[in-house]
Amino acid sequence: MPFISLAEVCKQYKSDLVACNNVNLCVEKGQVCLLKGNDLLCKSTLLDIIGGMDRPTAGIACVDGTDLSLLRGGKLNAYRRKVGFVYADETALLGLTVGENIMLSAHLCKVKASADKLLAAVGLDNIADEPVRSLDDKQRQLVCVARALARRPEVLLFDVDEGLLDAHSLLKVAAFIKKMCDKFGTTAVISLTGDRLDSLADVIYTFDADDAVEKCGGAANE
Amino acid sequence: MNSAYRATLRSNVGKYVALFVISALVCLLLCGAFSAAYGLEYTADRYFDNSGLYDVCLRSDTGFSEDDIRTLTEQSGGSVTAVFSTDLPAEVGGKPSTLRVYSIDDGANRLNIVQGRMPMSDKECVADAATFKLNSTVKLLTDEEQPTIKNGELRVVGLFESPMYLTDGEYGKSGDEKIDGVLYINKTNFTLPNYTDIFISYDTLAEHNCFDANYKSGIASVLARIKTINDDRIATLYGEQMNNLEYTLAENKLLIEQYNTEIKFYEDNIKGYEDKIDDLEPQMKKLRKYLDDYAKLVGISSEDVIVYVESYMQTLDTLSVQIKQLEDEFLADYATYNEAAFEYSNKSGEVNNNYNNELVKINSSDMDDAKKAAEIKKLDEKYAKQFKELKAEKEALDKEYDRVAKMSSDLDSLKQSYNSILAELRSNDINTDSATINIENYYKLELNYSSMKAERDMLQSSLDFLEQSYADEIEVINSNIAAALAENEEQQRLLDEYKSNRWAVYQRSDSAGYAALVKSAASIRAIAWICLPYISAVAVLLFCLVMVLAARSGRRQMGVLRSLGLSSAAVTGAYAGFAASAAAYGGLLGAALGSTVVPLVQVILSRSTYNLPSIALGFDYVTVGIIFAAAVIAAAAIGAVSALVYARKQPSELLFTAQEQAQ
Repeated sequence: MPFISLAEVCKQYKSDLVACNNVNLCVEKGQVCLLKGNDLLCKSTLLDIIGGMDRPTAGIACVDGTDLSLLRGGKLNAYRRKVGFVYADETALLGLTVGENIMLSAHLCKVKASADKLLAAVGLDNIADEPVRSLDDKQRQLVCVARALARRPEVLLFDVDEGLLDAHSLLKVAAFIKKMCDKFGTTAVISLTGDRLDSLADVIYTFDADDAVEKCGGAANE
Repeated sequence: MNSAYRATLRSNVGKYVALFVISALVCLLLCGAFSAAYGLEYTADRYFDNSGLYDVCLRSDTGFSEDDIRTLTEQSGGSVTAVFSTDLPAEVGGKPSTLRVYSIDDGANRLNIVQGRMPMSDKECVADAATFKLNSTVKLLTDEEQPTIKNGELRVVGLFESPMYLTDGEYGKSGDEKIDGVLYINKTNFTLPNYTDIFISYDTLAEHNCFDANYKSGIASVLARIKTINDDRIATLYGEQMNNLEYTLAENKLLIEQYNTEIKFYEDNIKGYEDKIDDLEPQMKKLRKYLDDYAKLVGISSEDVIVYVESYMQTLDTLSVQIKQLEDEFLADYATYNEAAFEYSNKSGEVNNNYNNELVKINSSDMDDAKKAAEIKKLDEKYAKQFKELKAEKEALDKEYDRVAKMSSDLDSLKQSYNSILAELRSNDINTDSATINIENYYKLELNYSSMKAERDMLQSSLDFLEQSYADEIEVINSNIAAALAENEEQQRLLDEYKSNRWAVYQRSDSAGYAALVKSAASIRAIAWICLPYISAVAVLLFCLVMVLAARSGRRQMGVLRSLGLSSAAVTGAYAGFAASAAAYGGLLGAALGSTVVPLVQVILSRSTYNLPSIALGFDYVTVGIIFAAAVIAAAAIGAVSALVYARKQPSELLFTAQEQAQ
């Protein structure tokens, strides 16, 4: 049974906008999955559903055999603590320092982490004590990556804003993610438009505007 | 959680300050409003306690005896101070006024001397600062017949403020007269037999603010205790009075019986005299008849008869006296003569015997005759002087005998004269139709009659005197009996009065100043209560406004926190904590300022109305605590509700990720 599986997942918003329709997706544990394509809405929606941040209108979303739509309250929060989510938008907590952002995440999962090491891994050195407000958008995005990785998540969801991260940074981060996946068995789902990370992916799903989902094997499997 | 709180705080510093200020202002206003009333009461309470103001004041129309004071000291459980007081008309600066005068005592209601000093003599006094001027003179017009004070001409040597009179001019009334001022004089200047006022202070009550419920409940139990003491005292006095009454009644009963016995004695005495007079009356009538008969017979009046017989009787009496006198002299002289004659006889016999014996001895001796003759001659010469003396004595005795014999003869002739006069008087005896009257007897009867008449008159006058004096005495006795009965009635009335004679009991709240202060505090509290909903409503609105803004601006942050696995309760808690801490710090500052500065200002302003010599800051912890807690709880609740609106949503909704893209 795949670690992450979406079966006939649909999501329709109140404005009758259909974000995704009958999407099927499978990711094995420890794999790096890329969600590619121009359909940004669909990809972000799928990440929200997998991360337990939203519920599908129809279909079943399972992670590690658990139907996410059945989770409520404490169990749902507990699940979210297993997830490391890097949003495309700025989601760093502006009221905290960089280090506090990272340690908050680790602390919630009762994981010992070193903010400095994580930051260094994503290419940010000696900014743990800096307030997030003083960082630029790219740095904030990287802080969010470090924060997501700090909790050693079972599922890492990374909605890449390619406008913010340059190729070098993205590859560095992706390499670190891959390393984490290999080391801790983390399952990563990364959403992006380009092909920069194809070489790292175990499985790739492409979402075009007409919702056609195409699965192909990643370069990592070749 | 702490990080969530920190994140919320750091991203909403402006709103935190806004909440802080709102809370501070609300607490300042509300705590200030409520504490102002409390501060006024607390300052007054401290003043009362520091100056030993009474908790309970007792007054009695009949005053308090030493027994009353001792009983109250032993049983009331408080510190008892007894003073004199009286309301007197007076002249102050030539103007008539009515003053209340107290005796000075350090035990309770200690005066605050604002100018001058305490009195040092009975000619000095201290007076209330609102009415009098230092060194002015006061003339108290005490009752001349029953003065209550010794010296009414007083000089004001000090001005005071008293805890009994918080407001100027509120000194109460004496009957219908308004009291214009208050004086304190030395206790020794009073002449009242009993203390008029008792002040009792309780240390246990001093621990409470006298305006709060604990004090009132304490006072209620004290009043109940004093009522019991009063009841006991009435019962004791009633018992004593009952005993007095019974004793007086018994004494009066005895007195009445004694008086009745005396009356009976006098009446019996009078009757005895009347009986004697009744006995004399028939004898006197009989004698009167004899006298009248004789007078008719001889044709003279009975008075002439009496004069006639009386002349004889006087002569006889004179003779009788002379006879008795002469007889006494004769008997004495005769006895003297006999004694002298006996002595002479003895002496003569002794001399003759001695001579004869010596002569016989000479004659019988062996001497010759010549010698015998010579010896006899010597003997004769030897006794010649003695014989001569005997002869002279004999002659004197004979002369005395003649004198005594003459006296005897004179006595006999006097007795003869007496008898002849008596015979002459008796020769006048009268023969009447009814009896033969011996004039002497008649005279004696007449004398007896006169004597009886005199006795009767004397008896009559005695009787009259007795009747008069007894009448007076009986009147006195009767009035005494009436007085005894009246006393009984008075005792009974006193007894009834004792039953209804209760002490008048006052407490601090009965004074005008206290009532005014309570009214002021109540007004301030009323204002505070009126302001409370408005200020609270405004505060809630402002809290809501700030927190809604904070929640709205923190929406994304809440989404992030939720996505990190924080529960909605934790996120809500962070916002509630944020609001609560801002309200708490602000409220703390506001409450601190409100419960210190505002009461201070209030008390300073109130000193123009109330005589409060010192300011005491007291904290109404309960009210301040409630306001503070309410502010914090309200802020926390508003913070929680504001946050919960968002926190309960899915993180994806809060973060506008997919939705934003969809739109």
